[in-house]
Amino acid sequence: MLVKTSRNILILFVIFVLAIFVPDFYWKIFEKNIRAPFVLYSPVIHDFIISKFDDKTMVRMDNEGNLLTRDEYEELEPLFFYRQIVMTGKMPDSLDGMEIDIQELRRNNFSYRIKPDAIEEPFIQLYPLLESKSGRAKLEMPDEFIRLQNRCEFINCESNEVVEDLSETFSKAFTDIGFKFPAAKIFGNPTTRKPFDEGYFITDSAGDLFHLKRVKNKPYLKKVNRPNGVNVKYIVVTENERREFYAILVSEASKIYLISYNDYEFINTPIEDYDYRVHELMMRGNILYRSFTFSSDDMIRMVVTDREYNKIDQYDEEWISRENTSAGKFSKMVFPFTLSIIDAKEPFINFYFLFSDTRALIGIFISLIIAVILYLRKKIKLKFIWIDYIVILLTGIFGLIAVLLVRYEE
Amino acid sequence: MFASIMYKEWLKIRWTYLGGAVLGVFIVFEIFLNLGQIIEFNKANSVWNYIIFQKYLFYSDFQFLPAFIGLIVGIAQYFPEIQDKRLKLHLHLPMRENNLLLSMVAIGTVLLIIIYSFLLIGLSLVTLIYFPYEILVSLLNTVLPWIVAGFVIYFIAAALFIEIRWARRILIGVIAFAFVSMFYYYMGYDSFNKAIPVFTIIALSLSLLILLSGYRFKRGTK
Repeated sequence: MLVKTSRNILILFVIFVLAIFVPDFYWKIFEKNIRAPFVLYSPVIHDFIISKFDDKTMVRMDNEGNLLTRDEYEELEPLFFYRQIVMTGKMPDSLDGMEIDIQELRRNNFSYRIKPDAIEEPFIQLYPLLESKSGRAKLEMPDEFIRLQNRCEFINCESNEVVEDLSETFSKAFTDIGFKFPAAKIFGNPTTRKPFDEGYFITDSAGDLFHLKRVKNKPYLKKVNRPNGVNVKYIVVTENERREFYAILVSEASKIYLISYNDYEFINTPIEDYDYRVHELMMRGNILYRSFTFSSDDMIRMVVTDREYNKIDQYDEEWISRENTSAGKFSKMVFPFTLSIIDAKEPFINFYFLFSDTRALIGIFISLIIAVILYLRKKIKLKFIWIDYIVILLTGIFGLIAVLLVRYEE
Repeated sequence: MFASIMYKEWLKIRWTYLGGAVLGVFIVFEIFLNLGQIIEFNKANSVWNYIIFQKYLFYSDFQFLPAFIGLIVGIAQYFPEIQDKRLKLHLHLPMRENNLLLSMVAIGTVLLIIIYSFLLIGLSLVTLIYFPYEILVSLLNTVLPWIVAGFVIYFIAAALFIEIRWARRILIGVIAFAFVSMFYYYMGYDSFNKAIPVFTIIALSLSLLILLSGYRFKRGTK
């Protein structure tokens, strides 16, 4: 009995490893690089321009499909390629009636990216609270890190001990404003490589949002009023010198808001169908427009707005995903499922199953026939190996390989 | 009976085991010295920042230690059994063969639990000298897969050495190598937090693999 169990464990173990490595090798051989197109909005022709890879060569075109040379392409988006355009002396004097000042143009260009795997990425919950008004030209890393568990504790890094007076002052500010410990999520940029410091945006255990800064060693703590029904999923604190918005906020419902410097007012963005679990989001801005681009492995959408976030235009493109190429269709027949311990959209190692559909029956059927033929030739009675057939029925080719490798012991 | 098996197993592996313990203590001590030096040459806050946000694993030297200890203990315990087919003698002892084999694995497992716990306590003390408990918790979460890998290698070593046919040995070896490599996939600290229960269950179930090898051994050497 135990010996049988031992054989079954070995079979399952082999299947587990095969289901991870065989599809992985398969795709290493057959996968074609499908790269998302790169889309920009031209302030010259007020339309999209696209660059993408056709096999290995870069192709640039306008939205009608007319091919463009590299120079033509770059001249259509002088705000994005301003370094090159200034160098060639082709920068227009004005765009959309706005005079072009290179300094202003540079100051207004920005971009932020939100990847699905960043949203749940695990971090040790200790954060440096930088002094935001130190009177120094450069930001400095503080001597203490904060912990927001039962209260706001400052831990001195040198001594590894709690600094009582600072902890008391800050904890009092937290309780006074109605913060419910412990903190749920803490968002910010714990680095000195930024122009200034806006501290952290923090959600408490009740889901409320707060803004914390350290100003001359005193707490600056504000409760941020959220519009009804907006629950915080993720926040990118921008710390951009234009001081237009503190942060980009992604809600639980995958809506994107900007938290403005105007009394933390939430600015709505006209982005639809975005899903933070699958899409990688890129927000870009320049002196004339804002753009929100999100993409997955088979589509891209770009929404262009004016600086007041009114929608101007939208670009959509879809392509054949890996699953729908001929190699993908064949894999659906061969593998009833595949398993991976990593997923580009997830920050954790886990067991990511990808199940096939009815097409898998073909592979399972063929695997079963092979097993029946082999077992009949060996004249092994069904009562000893019925479990092998069940294994193959459930796991197809992986089960077949496993039961053949770990043969029945008489 | 069990006590005498325990004594016999201990005689086989004691020097290897103590050697593994000495190596482990040496590596934990080296991690301690390295940390002291890093903090001496850098500001403590930038070390914290580097560990927390750059995900620097100051204990990465520990990574392959449990696997190495699992391997040498497995070799010391099971390699002598196949020299001159000594295991055959044991199988004649007044004890059922499965119980005998499982006792051998249990003894090795307990010894590994002791040595790993001992090393983890050392590593935890070193960590708590310089860092708060949050960093220790993430260390334990991150080290756990490496520890489980140590048990996997030990169980596999047992099944491999008792196995008599090379074809089967190669199969188990290749599959186990592929499996163990998963434990060393690096995505920063805490990345195994969701998967480690299932990995542990799979690892524990591999302790039974020795039975199939033992059965084949008995049949093959009759």
